[in-house]
Amino acid sequence: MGQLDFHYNYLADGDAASHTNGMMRFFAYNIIDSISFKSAQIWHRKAATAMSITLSLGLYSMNGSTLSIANSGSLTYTNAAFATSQILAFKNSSVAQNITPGTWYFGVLASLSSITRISFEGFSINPTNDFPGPFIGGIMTVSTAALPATYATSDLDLAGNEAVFTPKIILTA
Amino acid sequence: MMNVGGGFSSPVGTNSSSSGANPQIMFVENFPGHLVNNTVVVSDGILSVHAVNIPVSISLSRAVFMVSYANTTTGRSHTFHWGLYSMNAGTLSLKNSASVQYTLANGVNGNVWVSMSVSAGENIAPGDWYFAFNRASSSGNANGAIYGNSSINPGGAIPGGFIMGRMTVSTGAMPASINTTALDITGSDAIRQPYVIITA
Repeated sequence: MGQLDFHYNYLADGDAASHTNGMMRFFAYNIIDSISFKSAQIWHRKAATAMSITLSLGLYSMNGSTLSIANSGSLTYTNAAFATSQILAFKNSSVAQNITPGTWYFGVLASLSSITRISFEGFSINPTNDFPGPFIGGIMTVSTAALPATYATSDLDLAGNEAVFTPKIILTA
Repeated sequence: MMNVGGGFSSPVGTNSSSSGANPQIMFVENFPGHLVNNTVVVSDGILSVHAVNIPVSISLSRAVFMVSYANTTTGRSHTFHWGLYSMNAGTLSLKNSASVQYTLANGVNGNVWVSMSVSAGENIAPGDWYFAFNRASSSGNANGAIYGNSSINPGGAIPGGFIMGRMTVSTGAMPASINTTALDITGSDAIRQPYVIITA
């Protein structure tokens, strides 16, 4: 199989979802060809107030129904209020990880101190029931201060707009 | 604006849900879910079929779609059918199928995932495949609202071969074969694609 330089999970504009302090959401991501993963970018929608936030992004694999962390990154972002979406980049400064084709999972955690919520751009369908198949996305029901090393998907909220919201993300080599 | 720090730590192993010579993925959408532009009406007994690129092998177990209803006042029962087809010289041949009889209770309001288990699980290799979808109403409203896409309205055939269309005669379960030259392939009604996710 080939090697990708980049891969992303969206083709059009979408919606936005709020993310509060200590909230952690997971979403599934199909990697269709290998990628030497060094960086990731997500979209932060407009903000009405100045902020200083720390975002953590975890790459997870699945064993049975338990997510296990395979890599992680974080960034601290400080900015005045802004009216248009901003791209936030987790830039690698060490060794890249080659991700092989398959279904992977990302976890996004926000630590907020100067504001109560931020908004990510992404997309969602608003299901009233849990997805009747393998895990595709969910949100923790308790706050956390750090990316968990492992997490049981059975402990996640799997229904509703918030639970299955998927942030736009670009992966790059 | 200041974006400080943000490196990735050293990888913790190279675990994956799939590795080795035959990678697998856990789910495949017929099109990205965020391109669902509306609910589409699946006319009673009229089968629609469309091309889907499956990029990596998947151990097929079920097909999932989403019904959307607003404040139902009467129970509605439908039988939904899904089929996986391969193409050879303009003829689609059935490879696998699934169906479910689904009843929506009174007062339901919202979007509901519905699951259909395939007749026999099997590994599906990467390549061009075709999803077919059909519905038969047993009671209640004659039309079923399914999340899907009908955002284009083609006035002519798609150059290069069959991509999407629908039958012009009613059918129930998935036919063993479908002649694509007999399908209606123009108009937004012909190219409606219900949103389907197949899973391991």
